[in-house]
Amino acid sequence: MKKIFILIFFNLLFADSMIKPIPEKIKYDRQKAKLGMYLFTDPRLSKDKKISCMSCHKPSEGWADKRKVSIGVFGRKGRVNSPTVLNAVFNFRQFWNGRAQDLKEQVFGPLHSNFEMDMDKKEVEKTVNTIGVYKKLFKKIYHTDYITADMIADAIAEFEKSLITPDCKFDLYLKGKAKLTPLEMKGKILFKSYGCITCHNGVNIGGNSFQKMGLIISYKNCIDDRYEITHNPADRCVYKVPTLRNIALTAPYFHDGSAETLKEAIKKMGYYNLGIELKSDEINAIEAFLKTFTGKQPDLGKFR
Amino acid sequence: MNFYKKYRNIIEIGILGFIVIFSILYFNSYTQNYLLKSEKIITSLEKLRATELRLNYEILKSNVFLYYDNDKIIRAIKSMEEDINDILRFEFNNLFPKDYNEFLTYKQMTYKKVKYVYTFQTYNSALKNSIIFFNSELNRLGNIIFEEIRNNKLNINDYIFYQKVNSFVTSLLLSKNAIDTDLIINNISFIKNYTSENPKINRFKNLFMIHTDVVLKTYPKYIKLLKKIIDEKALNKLKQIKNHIFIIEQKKIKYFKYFSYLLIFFVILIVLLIAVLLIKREKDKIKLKKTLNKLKNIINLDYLTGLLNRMKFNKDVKKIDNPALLILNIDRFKNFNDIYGSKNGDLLLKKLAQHITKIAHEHINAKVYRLGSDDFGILYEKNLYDSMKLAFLFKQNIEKTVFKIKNINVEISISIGIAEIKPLLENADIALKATKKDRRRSILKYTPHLDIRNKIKENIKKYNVLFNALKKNDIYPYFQPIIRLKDNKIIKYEVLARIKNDDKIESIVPYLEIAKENKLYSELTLMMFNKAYDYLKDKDIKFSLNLSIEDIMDYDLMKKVFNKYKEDDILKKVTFEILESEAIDDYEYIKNFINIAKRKNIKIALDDFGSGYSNFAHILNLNIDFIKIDGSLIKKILCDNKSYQIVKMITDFAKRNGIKTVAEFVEDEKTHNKLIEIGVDYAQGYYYGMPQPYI
Repeated sequence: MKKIFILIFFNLLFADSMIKPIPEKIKYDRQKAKLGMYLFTDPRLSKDKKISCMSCHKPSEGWADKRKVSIGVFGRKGRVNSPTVLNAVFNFRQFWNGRAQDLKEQVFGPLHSNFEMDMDKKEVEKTVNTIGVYKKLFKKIYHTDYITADMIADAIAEFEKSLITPDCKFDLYLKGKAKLTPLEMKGKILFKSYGCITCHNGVNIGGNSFQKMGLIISYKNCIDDRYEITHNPADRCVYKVPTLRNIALTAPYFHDGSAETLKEAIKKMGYYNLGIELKSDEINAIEAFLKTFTGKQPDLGKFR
Repeated sequence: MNFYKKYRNIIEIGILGFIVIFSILYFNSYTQNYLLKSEKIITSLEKLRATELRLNYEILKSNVFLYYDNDKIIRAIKSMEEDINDILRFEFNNLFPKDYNEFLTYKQMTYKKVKYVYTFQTYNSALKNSIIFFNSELNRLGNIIFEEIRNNKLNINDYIFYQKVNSFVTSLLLSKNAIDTDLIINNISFIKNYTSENPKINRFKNLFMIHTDVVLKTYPKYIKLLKKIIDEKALNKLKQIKNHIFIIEQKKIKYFKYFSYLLIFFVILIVLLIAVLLIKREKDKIKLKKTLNKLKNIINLDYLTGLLNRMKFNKDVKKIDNPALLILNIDRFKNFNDIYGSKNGDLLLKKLAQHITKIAHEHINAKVYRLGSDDFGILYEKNLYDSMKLAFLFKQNIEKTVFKIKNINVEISISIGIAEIKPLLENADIALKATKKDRRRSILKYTPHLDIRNKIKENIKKYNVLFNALKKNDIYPYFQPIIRLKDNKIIKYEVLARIKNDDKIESIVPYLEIAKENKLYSELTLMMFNKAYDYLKDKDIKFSLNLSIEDIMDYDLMKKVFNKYKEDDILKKVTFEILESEAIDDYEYIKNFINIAKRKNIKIALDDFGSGYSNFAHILNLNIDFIKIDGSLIKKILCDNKSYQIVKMITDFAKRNGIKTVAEFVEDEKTHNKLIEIGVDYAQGYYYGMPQPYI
């Protein structure tokens, strides 16, 4: 008995340092980022000229999508809930199943996906190369007369890199600049003692490993999981752990957007991955704790 | 091509030098590049190895620690991937092809490893999830048991269940931290099959079993994966690659060392070659200097005798304020060469040169030169010596010396020309030539009148006069009486030639030499014979005509003479006066001519006897009628006993052999009387009568 307690206590000592505050500033190329912003918001990059990146990563919705699944060109429905772009730079992989190594590689996913923007590289290049503003800006920044898809992705990735949300309440708490309320404190302890932290850790409180949805109680709706890439049976229902930063802003939750509210999401995680039914006071506490992850939203005015 | 031959060595060394310098530069950059690259590769491989070890360390940490920041693993993976890409950027497939391929294999291994790591993370979290669950649930189970004890309702089986659960969880933790599946208690059938009377325990058991199922299913895979991840296959591969590159590098360094030795050898070789070339050049320079000196000497020295030469003389003569020069010339050296050969002639010249040098050094301060084939010059300061005395000194000394030339004892006589007036060489030469003309004087000092240049002018003038006279027939016979001393009666006239020059009648004598040299002599003789004939043919007067040996030898001339003088009348009246000279070398011919003349009743006289080459033996052979005693002897018979004796001897000799004697150049009575006393038969001269154009 004692041994177990000692072990667990010993491990708990290290728990706080497992979540790191995100840096207040990040290095990026301002001009590229500005150009990236134009592209990010430009629907001409899609087949029906109606869908831009921002159509599914809305700043007002935590740079994610309120809808269960996003709607792409010609009203086509997507398969999974669009994850937030905020702090995506800190994710070790991109997409729910982590099929992109980095932001730049990620850009081509929605561009090519026929139910998102449905453009192949040539089409994108052709479109962008006919737009005078882009010709001018790319010439200035990339010193080129012909804009390639790779440059477009690079610019967009640079913009996304700038989208970080520093100084959330918990980060300030970690830096000793803020105090948590008793409820938030309770939620923090529960977050650790229930083992949420074994997956949601690091600078992005998640986004640094692949984990199974429905570890204890198996989950039915495992679409777009790791298995689709690795075809390893062990990877069924395995996803990149999503970040918990700004989690209060990015409802609905899970890859399938099946949880409408944060509370519901907490409850579902307790059920599927711990096999327990969390009490409502526990859910409230954890929710309060998770809300401390909402940081300073990026101000696009800085690009003007 | 010529240029190449001339500078062959330099060009070759130059080319070799360029090759070596190029090789050194290339070698330097190659080795630097190679060593830098290989060092970078080795360093990067070491760094990569450290990174992978860090990854392993993080993995193990995440295994041990319940709470772990997965970012650290991700960061290690990213570093490893970056390191691998950095190494691949070196593009060392050319440098170390085998290792490059090995490294690609290593990269594949790391791909796999990263995949394992991701799966490991998933398993690890799942296990930790359950362990944390076990922790809180075990606590709850303890509370349930405690509650039973407190209520005295403790079922011993419930407690055993509690213990079994406890053991299992403990073994799981132990096993996990020890990474040893043996430690885990697999037999959980008791727990699985246990049904308690307490529903709380049953509820616990159900949830516990779900977690345990997950754990037991995941755990062996997890341990296997962990072992796979932290096995050191990849690390060893990396180490192998690194070591292999290091070995190859060391080997290559060895080659570099050898090659650098070779280059050093070549550098030394070039330095040596250059040194040799420089030494050779120095040697050549010295040789050239020597040759130059030799050449200088050759220019200044006579090759045969080693005396200073004429060129040097020309230089030296300018350095002396009042120079004087003796030219010593061997008499008849040409004859010596003809007789003994020019080799011995050269030997003689050498010996004489030594001898002259010796005399010069012993007696005076002078320089000795060889100025011509057998001309030796002695140059000195005029004011220091009496030139005549010096000349006598040399002449006496040389002439009493016997030169031994290959067993031949050679005695020589020399002639000396002296010049004290510039141009020395020319003037001394003139003096020397003058000695050769005048046999009686073998030392002559130059005076302007010796100068042949004046004579030449005079000769040309004389020639013109003679030539014109011959052309204009301006040669006239004059007649000088010859008397018989016994009774002073004129018995004959000698016909003498006179020449008209500017309306003046002159003696032909000064023109004779010119006439001989220019082949005008025979013309002159013929003209005289013809004119004498025309004048005397009808007169009852005897007369004598002069003939030189050259005239007699001239066949055409004699033919013309005898064509004119063919009547007996005239032949009886004529005497031919033959002038004896050294040119007589065909006595038989002369003898024959005299005999022919005698047969024609022509008398023969031998002219100018007693001068030069008079030979009594000849006279006897030649069957002559008269001997004309040379005027130079007659002039001196009163004062010079020698001359008297000679005249007397000639007269006696002639008498004894039935030859009449004629004395020439009788100018006074005393001489006339003396001649009578001696017993000379006839005489002629101004005392008796001047030559007259008419008789």
